Amino acid sequence: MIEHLPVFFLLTPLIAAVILSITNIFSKKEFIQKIIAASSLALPFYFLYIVFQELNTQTISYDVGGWLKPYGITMVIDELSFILLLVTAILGILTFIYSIKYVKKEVGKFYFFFLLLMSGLNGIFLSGDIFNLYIFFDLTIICSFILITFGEDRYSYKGSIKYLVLGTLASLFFLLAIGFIYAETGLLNLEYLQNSIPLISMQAQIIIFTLLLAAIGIKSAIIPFHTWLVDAHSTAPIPISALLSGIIVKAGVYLFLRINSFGFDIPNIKEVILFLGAITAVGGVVYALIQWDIKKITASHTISQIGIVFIGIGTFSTIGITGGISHLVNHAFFKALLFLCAGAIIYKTGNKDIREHKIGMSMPITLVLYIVGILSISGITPFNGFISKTLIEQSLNNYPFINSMLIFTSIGTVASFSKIIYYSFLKNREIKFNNFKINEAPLLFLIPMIALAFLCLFIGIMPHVWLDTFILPASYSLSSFFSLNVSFIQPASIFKEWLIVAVGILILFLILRISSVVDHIRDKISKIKVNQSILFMIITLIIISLIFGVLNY
Amino acid sequence: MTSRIIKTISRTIIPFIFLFGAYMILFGHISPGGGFQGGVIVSMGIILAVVAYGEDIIERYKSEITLVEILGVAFFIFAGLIGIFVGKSFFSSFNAIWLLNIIIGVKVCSGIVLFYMLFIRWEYIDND
Amino acid sequence: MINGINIGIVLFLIGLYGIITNKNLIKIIMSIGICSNGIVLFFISIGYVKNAFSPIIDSATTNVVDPVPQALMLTMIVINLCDTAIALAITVWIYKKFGTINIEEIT
Repeated sequence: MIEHLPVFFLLTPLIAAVILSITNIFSKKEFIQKIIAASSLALPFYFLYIVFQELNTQTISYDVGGWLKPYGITMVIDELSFILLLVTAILGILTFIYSIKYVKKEVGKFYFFFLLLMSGLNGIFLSGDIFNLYIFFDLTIICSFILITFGEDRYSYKGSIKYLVLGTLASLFFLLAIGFIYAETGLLNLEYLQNSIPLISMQAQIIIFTLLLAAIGIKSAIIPFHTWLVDAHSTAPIPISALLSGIIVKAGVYLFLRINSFGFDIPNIKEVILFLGAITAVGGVVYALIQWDIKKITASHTISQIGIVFIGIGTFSTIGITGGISHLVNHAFFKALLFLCAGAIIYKTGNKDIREHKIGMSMPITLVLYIVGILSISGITPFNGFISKTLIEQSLNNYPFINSMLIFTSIGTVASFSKIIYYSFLKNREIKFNNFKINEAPLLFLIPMIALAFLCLFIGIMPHVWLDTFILPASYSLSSFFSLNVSFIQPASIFKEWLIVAVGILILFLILRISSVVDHIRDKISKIKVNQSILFMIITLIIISLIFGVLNY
Repeated sequence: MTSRIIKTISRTIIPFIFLFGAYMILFGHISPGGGFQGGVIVSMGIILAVVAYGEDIIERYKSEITLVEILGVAFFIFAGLIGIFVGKSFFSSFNAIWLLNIIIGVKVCSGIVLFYMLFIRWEYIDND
Repeated sequence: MINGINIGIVLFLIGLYGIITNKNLIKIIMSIGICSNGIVLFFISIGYVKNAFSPIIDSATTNVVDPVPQALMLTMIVINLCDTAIALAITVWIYKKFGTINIEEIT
């Protein structure tokens, strides 16, 4: 049974979805549907345990249909896909527990598409062929369009249609790149392509890489391609927002990591990707500082954190790639925590604008968990954001300009989240000494939030255990062997963090003074239309291909 | 909006559309065609009948068509799992591609008829 | 000069121009269809071999046209169908909620 494991990962949510819809025709009780969905989301943990013991000796590879390697479809589990499958399973079951209480109407359809989304995500991380990757990307993206429309009334359709036009365009660019790869090499298998891409002509390599950069940029929201993300992630229902920002955006970065191992030897790749990553990191934070809607602020921070991941991966060194992969995993956990806490706040107060919340101390557990999330995303010491940010900063020794952009991003992150704490929890609080009641979020909301906060704390306290077991083997499979001796607790870096926090709070007060200018900028930015953004995207692509030198060869 | 001409012509043509669709499904491994393409053509025949004669002839079979569609997916996965039970890989071939073509054809046909019914009614089905 | 590969890329660029400049949502969805048809033509003409036979086992076994892109394109056409169906369904809902399908007035 062990050698059939990759297929079981793929089939378990799919069979559960089919059984759920058959029982939905005959009886409408929600209890049976929840039992089926919960059991199929808990089963992959057992499979992951078996895979973890098997991975010490070899990577698991499986030929579908019995056809041999270059002719048939293969499924591969190696260390990088193992860690992402683990994150998918954890986020899947925690958002499912959250959504038991959150989703009120049309429950059967919601769980059907949720299980199909899980199956598509598992398929992305399991595929060993480049065309199989395209098929599961499309399955994931189609399910997420439908799930976004379960959100609030009118605006979720607006976010969904923007995501649809741009996501389909990304799939078409990816398909064109696959066409060029097949025309030049005649192979589609990822393992066989590693040795044969450096043999084709330089002009073809530049065209293929530019088209792949377009597809990756749209899917993981790098700055010229980012216009769909804030609307789509902020109008979805909260558990779907947590999944979208947590793991579906990371699928684009996973594609970039797989393409990295092909060995394109184009000059200036490092500088272009570092520059794009730095612009994304700063632009996301600036975009977050001018909003007042709590879901939009959290969604804009996704853009800047993915920029930090690209800065880490763009240095192409082992410390950088390790920092990038570990920031991927950490960001999944603390971003899901931030979204779930925001959902609890919106559930209790019924309002998304942070100036209207007026919670005070009536939700103490949510306040503590939200502060854990904020300390993680800013990179303060005992939590997990600090680990990955230290690794990325240490890999940037030759690029002082990018290092200063990173520090500016940290300052902006602290400023924007202290704004949320100040307006939601501290301002206009209503504490009367005699009738002080606690109006906490329901228990089914608190359980996944506490689990995620515990994970953030655990990874931050014992970094070497987590890194050596999971993250370092993943980066060994992409670059050369390197033993990591980085000490994380240094007094100089702790002093630098608290300095960043102080400067961040100062910048917050500065921004609150010039609020009329902020409103003006926000109106200007929200008037950018979809057509203009696609035109801007294509102009950026042409400029990037000219930088690589497509006309010289 | 149906007239006498459409009703007469469609009564003559629809059996030929079904025959051509069945030919494309069954001969999918020799000539161009296959499960998906044949399924679309068979569903075109049913949709022509619905356009000519009104929606009421299909309206009461909505839950049956949904059940057929879901069972199509279940049979397809089951056909793939047979390979595992025999001992070779998933979807190992058992020299019966025509069976997979028929399952896919039935599923696609019921799926597209459901698309049409939902689009002209502007509302969702009650059961999934 | 005029072969399948060039015409496929030209169709893709025409569809891309259609997505950039159209304001009606249904026209944008049709332009996405034109893009994907261009890609289908591009893929299939990659595998062309001169003076070869069709890849069906009863007619020839050697000297056949490459069958791999044809199999990939069958899958891709199905996926594109699902995408278009969902896009049209969301367009119907947008018309019910907003009263217009002009993409500049929605976003």
